Formats: sequence, structure tokens, C-alpha cells
Amino acid sequence: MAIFRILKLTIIPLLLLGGFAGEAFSSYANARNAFMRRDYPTAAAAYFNVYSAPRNRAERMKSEWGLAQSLQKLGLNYSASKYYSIIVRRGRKASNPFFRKAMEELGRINSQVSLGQAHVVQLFKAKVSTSDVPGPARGFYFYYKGIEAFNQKKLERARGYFAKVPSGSSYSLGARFHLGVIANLSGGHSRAINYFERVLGATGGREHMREIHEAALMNIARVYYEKKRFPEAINYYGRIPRNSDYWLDAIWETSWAFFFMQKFNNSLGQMHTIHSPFFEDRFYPETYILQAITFLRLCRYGEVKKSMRLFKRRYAPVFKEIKSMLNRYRGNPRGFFKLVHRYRVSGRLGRYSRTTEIVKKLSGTDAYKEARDTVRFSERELEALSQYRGKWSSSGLRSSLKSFLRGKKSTAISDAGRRMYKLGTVYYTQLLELSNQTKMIVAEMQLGKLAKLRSQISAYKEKSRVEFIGGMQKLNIGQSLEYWPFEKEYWEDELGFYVYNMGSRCSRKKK
Amino acid sequence: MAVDLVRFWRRGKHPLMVRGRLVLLTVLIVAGGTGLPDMPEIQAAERFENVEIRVIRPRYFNKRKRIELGGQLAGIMNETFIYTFIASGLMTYHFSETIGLELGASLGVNIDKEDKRLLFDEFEIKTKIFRHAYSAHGAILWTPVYGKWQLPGGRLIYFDTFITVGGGMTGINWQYSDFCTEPDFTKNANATPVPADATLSYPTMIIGAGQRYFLSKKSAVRWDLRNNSLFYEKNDTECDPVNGDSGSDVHNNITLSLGVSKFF
Repeated sequence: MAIFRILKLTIIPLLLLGGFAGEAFSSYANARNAFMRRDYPTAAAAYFNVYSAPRNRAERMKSEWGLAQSLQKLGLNYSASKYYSIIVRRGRKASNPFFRKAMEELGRINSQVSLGQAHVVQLFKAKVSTSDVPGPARGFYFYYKGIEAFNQKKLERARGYFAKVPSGSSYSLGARFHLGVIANLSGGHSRAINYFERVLGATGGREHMREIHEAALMNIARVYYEKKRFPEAINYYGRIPRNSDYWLDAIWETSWAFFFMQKFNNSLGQMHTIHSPFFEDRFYPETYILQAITFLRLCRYGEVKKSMRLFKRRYAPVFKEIKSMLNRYRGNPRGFFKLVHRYRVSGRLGRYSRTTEIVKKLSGTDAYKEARDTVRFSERELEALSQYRGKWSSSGLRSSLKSFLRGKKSTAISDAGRRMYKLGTVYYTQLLELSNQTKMIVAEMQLGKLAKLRSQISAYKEKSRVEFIGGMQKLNIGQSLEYWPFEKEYWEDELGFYVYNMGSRCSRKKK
Repeated sequence: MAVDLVRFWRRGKHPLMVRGRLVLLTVLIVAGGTGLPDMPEIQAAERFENVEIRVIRPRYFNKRKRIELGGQLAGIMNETFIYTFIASGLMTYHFSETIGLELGASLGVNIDKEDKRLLFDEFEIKTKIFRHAYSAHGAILWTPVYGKWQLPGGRLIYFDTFITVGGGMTGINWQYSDFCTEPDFTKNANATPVPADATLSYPTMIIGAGQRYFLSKKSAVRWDLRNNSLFYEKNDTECDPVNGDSGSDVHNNITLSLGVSKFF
């Protein structure tokens, strides 16, 4: 009887255990069968069951891979990336057989829906030997390793990574672009231009590559600007199309280039465009300072004072609101992101309406755009998850994915909010500094220290012989031109083509 | 190049003409290495000397050294008793943005109006009619105005306004039955018979004005209003050419044309 009792106590748990193990095994087989049948919702649920209670490590690995694949087949790329990322983060080892494949898949997903820079950089924290990176994922891997090093200002290391991005990879243009930036930062201007030109060559006329094409144009212009080759710089700035996000930056930067070339009327014309009502919600406060010092160069002191007055009139009410806004959202990056996002969607800022210029600028930053994409893709998948209530709910897969997607969204929002808030404080400080500069200019003018002021801003090169018409266009021989007078009425098609017609009032003695 | 800067406004009422701008044109920098504008263009540029802020940019539509080929449909506006429709072809060579030489030829179709029949039926009045059969002309085109309109949707339409002066030949088809009655030869055997219908050509002087609206950098729609002064022999209009008036007279045809043109 005692023996029977002992047997009973031993056999029953064994039977139970065996039963569960059998069930797990059969679930894995079921999952595989469902996957082979292309019944991916069933496969995902079944793989998740096995993954949650595996019989052994090998089964866990296989079900993890199968789960990621099933989710990807269902178009749930972010959800799939969760499991691929777990595989990749474990690094290359014998016990992680799907490492290379998972990296390839992540590279593919990232080129379709951006996983976010922070996500990808985190992926590659574990040390990976170059030979372990599969061919198709080399672009993905080395590009983001390069980005990570670049962000840490380790330029040489970044250069090494970017150089390893294969030329056929979809990441190669981005890598070349960064190589150009690094070359320029290291003083290799010609090399930088060469890299950017290669990007231009590969992206010209391709609508989906417009942004990188324009960014390359801007960078070439900036390199020439840095080299004080202003006509060449203006030539590249002038190639930025009117509908580009960079166009107003190009106008602004050419104002400086014209100033240094002593083309004061062209410089003032460019700023006239920026001050038009079409761009009253754009943040270019320095234009008033440059305008003032340009008038100062022309000894037009009345206009200098007017520029300073305009700066004050435009930005004095802004100071108070920015300060109040930044105080309110200090330590609340999510709230700050929501404020920017609400503005982007509705164009309204409520009680911070006077900070529009700054909030608009923030809404054009990479930080905002990246987070907005992550939020959009996450929400799309969260919505798609509602289709898979049955099996996915009972297995816990749905709640696991929901929590991952919500976490991803939340992290993106907080991260972007933090970055944008930091930028917002930079803009505020910049505005304060500019305000101080205006006071300094006015004070020195009042004290009659004009010669000193003018000498401070006279550090520019000899007058250029190149002639420009309105905007950023060189005057070509044989070219027919049209003239329009500006009579206090802005025409949209005339933006970017204004030229002042003001002579200097400086006497020879003053010069 | 004496055209002044003109600006005008039409706000509100006409939906297509919210804002308009006209300006005298053309500043042309001469080819040939000097880099200096030629004299008329210098004058044009000088008109903006006192303008504090100006727009200077490449001209949207260049006509200089281009050939314009066009087709037009016109109607004579001052004919009381017939409708005259004229189909014409034009070829213009533009020496510069402002001066061009136009050559044109046309064919006319004439349709009697109801008024003509009523006059005869009810009052036995016969009407003398100048039936346009064909014409050929050469003219100088002077384009002093170049402007633009902004439509409410924001789209801009560039246009120019030209003045035409020229001369040519116009063929008039005389249908003497329109206004002559055959003499009664039983009463007067020596009466002169009504001349047979004929088409006769007369020298014509043309003066007019019109506009082109540029649809693209290669094509435009155009309209113009012209006065065609025909110097005809009075005798040609006489039912009795032997005993009729001699000498010449002038007849004016005012045409309104609408057409399209393509620039090459």
C-alpha cells in the first residue's frame, strides 16, 4: 500500500509533466505547420505559447525566430522587430543561431519603417566581429555604428564604419553624406565636396531622394562658404528649389555670403524675403542684426535704428511667452512633445501663440520627425492588433505586443520632447543674446562710436567682381531680365529675387 | 522705349483679376563680351533707379530671336449686314523682346444676316457689302508692356501687350446682286449691265493692339483688335461702272481675333 502510494506520488507528477511537455512539443509542431500553411496569426500565437514555456533552449530559439517571422509576414514590422532585436542583442554565439538572419531582417524593416536611431544604436551595443555581420546587413550595421561613433564625436572611428558600408546598400548614400561631413570637420574641404557631389550624382531627379539631394546641395554651399568662396557657395544655394524646407535657410545664408562679398543690396534683398509676411512664422531673428549692420556699412543710421526697432517690436512679446512655456514644460518632455505635435496638426498654440516661430522650427527638427514616424507606425500596429483578439489575447501575445508598442511610442515621445526642449532653450538663449546685441549697437551709435562699430564688422574680403541679379542667380551675359518694383506689396513669385537699390552714405573720410 | 511703369488694381469684383501688375520691360544684357546693356535696355533699367527695392530676375518668357507661329479666328465687328469670319495664320519673328515682324494670311467666310433680307423684302433696300475673301499682310509688332496677373488660387499668368502697324492686300468679293438691280434693257437698250461678281484686291493699312497670355514658356493664347483700312476704287462698287464715280475711298474693317501661338 505504501509502495503504491509512493508510486502514485511519483508517477502522477511525471505524467503531468510529460503531458505538458507533449503539449508544448505539439504546439511547436502546430506553430510550424500553421506557418507552412501561411496561417500566420495562428502560427504567431502558437510560437508565442512555445516561446513563453519552452521545453528546452533550442525550442525557445526556434519559436522566437518563428514568432518574429510570423509577425513580419503579417506586416507587423515593429512587433517583429521586438523579437529580432532580442536575438541580435544576444550577439553572435553558437547558442544564438538566428543572429545573422535577424540582423538582415532588422535592416530590411528599418529601410521600410524607421526603427529610430536610438533603437538601432542600442541593438549593436554587444560586440560583433565584422566577419559575423552578414553581407546584406553590412550596410545597416556599419551605418548605425558610424552614426553612434559620429554622435560621440569619434570622427575617425565613424569614418571607418561609414567607409565599410557597401556601395550597393541602401545605406550607402547616407554613409557617403556622413563621410562628407566628417571630411569637412577634419578640414578636408575638397574631399567633403567630392563626397557630397557623389551623393548629388546618385540622387538627382529621384523624388524619393529629394531630401538627401537638397541636404547635399546645402552642404556643398556651406563648405564653399566656409572656404570664403562665396560665388560658388551662392551657386549651390541657388540650386535649392523654392519648395524645399532648406530654401529659406539658403536665402538666409546667402544674405551673409553677399554681405561678405560687399554686395549689400543683394544681402538686404535676401533679408527682405525673409521678413515678408509669407514667413512671419519662421524663426530668423538674426536677420534684423545682419540688416542693421549692413545698413551700418552703408552709413544709413536711420535704417539701423529702424531694424533694431523692428527686432524689438517682433521679439519683445515673444520673450515672455517662451520663458513661460519653457518653465511650464520643464521636466515634462511628453507634454512638450504634445504641444509641438498639437501645433503641427492644428496650427494652434493656444496661450503660447507668440512662440509660433520657435515651435514651428522645433516641429521641423529630426527629433520631432523621427518621433512622429515612430508614433504613427506604432499606432498603426496597435490598431492592427485589434484584428487578432481571439488566440492572441488568450496566449498573452497581444498584451505583450501592445505593451511593447506603447513603450516604444512613449520612449520616442519622451526622447523627442527632451531633445526639442533642449533646443527650445537654445533658441531662447540665442534670442536673449541677439537682444543684447541690438542694445549694444544702439548704445554705441548713441555714444557716437560709429567708427569703432563699423571697424568691428569690416572683416570681410575684397569686393567681388561677380555680379548677381535678384536672389541667388549670377548675371549671365545675353540673359533677358525682368524688373519689378516693390511697392509694399509682396508677390509670392517674387520672393527670393529682391535687390535693394541703396547707395552708401559714407563719406570718403569715414571709409 | 518710352513706356512708363504702370500698375493697376482690380480688387474683388472680377474673380479672375484679383491682382495685376504691368511693367515696362526689358533689360537685356548684350552678348558679345562687353557685358554692358545696350542703350534702350539701359533706359529701361534707369526707370527703376529711384525704386528702393526691386525684383530682378531672369525673364519668364523670352521672345528674342524666336519665331512665333499662330492661328487665329477673327470676326469683323463693324459689318451690319453680314457675318464675316476669318481664319488666319501668322508667323512672327521677334528681333528683340519688344520688336517683331509679323507676316500673315487669311481666308474669310461671309454669311448674310437676317437684317439684310428684311431690308430688301420690306423696304426694297439693297445693301453694299464688303465681303472679305482673303488677305495677306506684313506688320511691325511693338511690345511695350509685359505684365502678370495673379489668379485667386495663386497661379500667375504672364502676358504682354503689343501694338501692330502694317500693310498688305485684302481681297474683297463683290456680289453686285447685293446692291444692284439689273437695268431694264427693254426701256434702255444702251444701259450698262451690272458687272459680274468679282474678287478684287486693295491695299490695306493695319493698326491694332492685342495681348498674349503665356501658358508656358513655349505657347500662348492671344487676342487682338485691329482696324484694317482698305483703299478701294469707288468705281468697283458702282453698279454702272461706266457712268459711276471714280476716285478712291477708304473702308474700315474692325476685326477681333482670338488664337493660339507656339514659339520656336
